[in-house]
Amino acid sequence: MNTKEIQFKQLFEENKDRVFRICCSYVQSSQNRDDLFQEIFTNVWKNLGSFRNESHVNTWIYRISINTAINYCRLQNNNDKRCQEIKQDILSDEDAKLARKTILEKEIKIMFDTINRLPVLEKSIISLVLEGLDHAKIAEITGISEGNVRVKFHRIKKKLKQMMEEQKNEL
Amino acid sequence: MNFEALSKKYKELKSPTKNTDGFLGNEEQNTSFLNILQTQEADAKRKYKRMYILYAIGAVGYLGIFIINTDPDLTIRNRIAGTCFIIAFVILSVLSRKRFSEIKRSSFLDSQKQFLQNARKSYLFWNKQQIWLVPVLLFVNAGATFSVSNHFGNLNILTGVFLFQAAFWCLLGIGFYMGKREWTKKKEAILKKIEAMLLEFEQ
Repeated sequence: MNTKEIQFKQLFEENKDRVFRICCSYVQSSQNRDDLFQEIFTNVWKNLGSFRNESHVNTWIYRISINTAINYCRLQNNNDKRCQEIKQDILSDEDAKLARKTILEKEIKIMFDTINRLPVLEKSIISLVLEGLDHAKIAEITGISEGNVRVKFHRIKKKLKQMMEEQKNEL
Repeated sequence: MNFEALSKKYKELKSPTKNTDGFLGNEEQNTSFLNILQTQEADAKRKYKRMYILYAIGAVGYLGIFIINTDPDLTIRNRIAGTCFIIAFVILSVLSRKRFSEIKRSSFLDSQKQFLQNARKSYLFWNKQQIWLVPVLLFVNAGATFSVSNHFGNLNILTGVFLFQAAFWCLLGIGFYMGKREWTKKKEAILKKIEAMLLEFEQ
């Protein structure tokens, strides 16, 4: 196994859960989620040569993940349906049966359904906040100012709260 | 809504994919994810290498046949036509090379805003870089005119050139119209979506 393969496997092990969560924020059907997951790691492999600074691994992975997700969902006409499958139940994924029994609770499902309905920038900001990234890192990944991230985050928080409550009531 | 609690719950979500072999097969079958990636990469490299070799052979070949060739049957018109084609060919090669390095320098590492701005550029029907296609077209036109002028026969040279120019620009117009129609069908909607997304970043 060469250095590139070792590095890739290590990055995969360390980041597969992060990437999976980003996938869940953008697409919800298991088939599309798996496709997107694979597409993100394909781009990780292709860009491995540009990965130098290990301290910035999170930013690096998130940038690739979010840009790939946008590309997957929005930039191709025939892929539009991929991101509109928000009604499909994340809990119905056979591959995740084992995990979901304990992890995917109702609230998580509602949260992903709600996040999935947000516009692209809001979706990215909220996903990254939930991942625990600070505003400076989010600004770096999205390309907007830190102040703007802060303002938008407060707006999204309110919006998300309202949307989640509506969703809960619907259920 | 407690964001910290929500974030904690969110982070509990784990990927069902255990390892890199889990994507498409296993290493024994030689169809693991890594193997597929490596094959794709090698294929792409081979494809571009082949393309450059073809360009080089084409340029040198044209140079030899139309410019350096001492054959007395080769008229001055043929030589001028060959020169025009070579210039157009060189410009196209440089443009292709530039485009290739742009693709190679993957924009997936850019910020989200920059990524969308780049995507917007690539989905425009016309962008500044394409201005280089104008001299290419003019050289091809000039080359083709000189080349065809050997076969005008009884036609007056001016009439011949006029007829050829009319046919050339008509065909180009049809091509442009078809290209525009194809772009409207396939790309315009995506461009509008990208522009709507970019608007979010400006607000």
